[in-house]
Amino acid sequence: MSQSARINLIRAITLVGLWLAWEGLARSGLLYRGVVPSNFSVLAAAWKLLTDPAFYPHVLRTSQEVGVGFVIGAFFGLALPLLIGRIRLVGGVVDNYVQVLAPTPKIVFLPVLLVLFGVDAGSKIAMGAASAFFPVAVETFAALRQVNPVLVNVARSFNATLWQSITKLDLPSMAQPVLSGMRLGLGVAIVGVLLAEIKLSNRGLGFLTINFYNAFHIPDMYAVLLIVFVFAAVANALISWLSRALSKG
Amino acid sequence: MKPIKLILSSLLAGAVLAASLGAANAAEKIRVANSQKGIWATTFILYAEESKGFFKEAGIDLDILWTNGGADTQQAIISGSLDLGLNTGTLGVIGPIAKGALLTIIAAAMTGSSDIFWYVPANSAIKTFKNTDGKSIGYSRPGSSSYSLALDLAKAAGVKPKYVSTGGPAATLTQALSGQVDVSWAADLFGANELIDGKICRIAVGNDVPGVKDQTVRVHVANTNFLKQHTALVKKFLATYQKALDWAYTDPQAIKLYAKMNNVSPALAKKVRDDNYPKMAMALRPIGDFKTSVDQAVALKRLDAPLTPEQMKETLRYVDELK
Amino acid sequence: MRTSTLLSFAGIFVAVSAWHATVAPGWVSGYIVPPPLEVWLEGVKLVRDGSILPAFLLTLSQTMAAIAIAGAFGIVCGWILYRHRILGLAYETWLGALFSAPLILFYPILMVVFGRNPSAIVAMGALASLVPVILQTRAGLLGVRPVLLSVARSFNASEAQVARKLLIPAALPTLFTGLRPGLIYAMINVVAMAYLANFGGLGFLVGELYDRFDIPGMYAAALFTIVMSAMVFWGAERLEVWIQKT
Repeated sequence: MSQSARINLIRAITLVGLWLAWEGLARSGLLYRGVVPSNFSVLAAAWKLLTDPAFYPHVLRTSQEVGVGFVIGAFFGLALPLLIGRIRLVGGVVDNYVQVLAPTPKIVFLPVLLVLFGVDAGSKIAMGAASAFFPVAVETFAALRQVNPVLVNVARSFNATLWQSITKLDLPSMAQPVLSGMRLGLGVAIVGVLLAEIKLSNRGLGFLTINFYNAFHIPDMYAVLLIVFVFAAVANALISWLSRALSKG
Repeated sequence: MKPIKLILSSLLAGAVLAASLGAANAAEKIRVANSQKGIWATTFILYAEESKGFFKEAGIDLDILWTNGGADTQQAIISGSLDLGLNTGTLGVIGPIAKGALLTIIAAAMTGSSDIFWYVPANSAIKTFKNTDGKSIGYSRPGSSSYSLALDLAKAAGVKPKYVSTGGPAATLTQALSGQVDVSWAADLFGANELIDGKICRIAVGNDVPGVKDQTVRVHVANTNFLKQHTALVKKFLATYQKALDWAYTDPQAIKLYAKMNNVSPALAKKVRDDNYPKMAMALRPIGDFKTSVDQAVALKRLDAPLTPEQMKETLRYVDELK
Repeated sequence: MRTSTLLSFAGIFVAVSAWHATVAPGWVSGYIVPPPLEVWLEGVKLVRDGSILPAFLLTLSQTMAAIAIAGAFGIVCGWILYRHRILGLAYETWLGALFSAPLILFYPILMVVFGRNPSAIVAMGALASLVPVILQTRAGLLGVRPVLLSVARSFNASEAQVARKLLIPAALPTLFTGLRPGLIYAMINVVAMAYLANFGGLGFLVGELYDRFDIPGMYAAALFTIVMSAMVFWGAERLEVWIQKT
């Protein structure tokens, strides 16, 4: 059997095994009623959601918040390093700040954002932006350091303006890592927005999630999360495809 | 360039004209924070609006955000992201108002507390509040009436339990039945079916607290800037609110919608409504026994010092002014 | 002191001054953005009244417990995926996808399963850091230079000996490198769940201060959390460097 066939076999067996294990746990009654629901009930709930027109305003709301938040966060994540990354000393210091702050639990800023931007879409967008900023900034700073210094000197010796430097030198050589940063940024932006919606909102997929949980409609809660995971995976795949397409062209 | 400029400027002019026309006819929007959707006291205005459209008729576009209560409502109003906060705990608002937050009390929402109760799962060893020493007691959110009442009940029983913020009644029921909290709170018709089926037992009611019957435990508040800029609108809102209240106690349609939302029979709904929410308890004024609320705030360290009589009068000034 | 370190501190000073300058003239409500001095004073008060340090210790201990569990399971799984190449290849992409999955969204389920107590939070942290540890462990083991393995085998070393005398010492530094992203994910999720579920350490404290309308205190606690977590990660990095040297 060829290797790829064996791999597929392993994956298929694993999937079936997981499905059965889950189903078994669901029906065993070991855990509190329904906290692990049957696969079928989750799929049925997902179908019900997808065919319910009232579901889509929530999808739209979350997508808008993620979209706007991500664009704002990614823009600043890109702009900050590009504009000051090469300034002697200052660039390095700011790079340091960004790296130190990047792995910290930014959820603690959510109450601050709620106070600053209110309880409506503003705080969700702000959370998305704050989340997306860091991976993009970290990758951009790193990529900037990787740009061939010879090319940088050549550009300087030709008295290239900052704008020329950015568009003709930095961006083309940084496309890959920056896109990778954006992929990560989109992922954390989605999480950030959802968590903000879970904490306080009356619309959106995060709101639906916590609402279903509060009413103990667990299959529906899993269904929303399933749809969210699929959505995030698709977005992820799109950016990967884009990054591959760009590297070829 | 010229034709484009012409087109753009006429589009702009048209848009401005349309907007001004629209604005002239548009209803005035009020963004409202309300809590615990489904209980009579907070939701009757929804039933009224659905059936009779009082607010629409009065030219008010009501936009309601349903929160878990307490601080969630209060913070939304203070930050100005919403304009009015309905049915929020008196205890919770005293602190921020004294600290200068942009929050103003505009009316009483609920005086006395016949509607909030605490329960345990049927197989629990706890029978009264006296058994709750060291156990966990649920309440909605800090700053809510369920919080202040829980504290009062524990004090009256002479026990020192742990307090857990469990959110709304539905979330709390989930936590109760899955053993996450020992004593849980609910209000009004929540848990009615479980009570009937014997899955849960009530152990205390808000009015068990001595003196609470005359105390206004929940109030309606407004963002201070919004109130000052739109005083007439807020006055109109309160008048319409009163109209909706009067309707809700006379038209059987209100009971029908209330019963439907809570999944119980209209007969049970009417009985529970009449027991829990005598119309007098929902009068918009006066603010009953404000002094006790202030004293409680001091005891809970939400106020550094009690308010002077002048300060109390100033805090409640708008309640009469908006009549 | 190196210029860059000096500049870093200068930068903080500039940021705080800018903050003060924005708030002082009253363009923004002092309630929404309190002046830095007020935040500092509230922070000191929080330390004095014993709220913040115990909260930090609780968060730290929950994080450590989480990474210990994730480390134990994760290193073993990572080893298996390394040892049985085919499994590693089969699960690689799945693990990659799980790596960025927002597992925190399942926190309510953990609360029902474990109850409203610290084990739920530790479980969340462990769950969230499991995949990073597995991936890093496997990557670390794969990175051990193959020539070393061949040399060991040519001496007819048994599997256990190869593991003990060669793989583990060679991979140890990378194992620690594997634990660091795990540490980060564990702490992030521990704090997040404490905030969302309203119990626990620092995450809970920040939420509580918001609920008590102690806005300066809330800013202080949030900043404290950021600084403390940054220091924990920096400490872990120092530890890792020291281990690699020895």
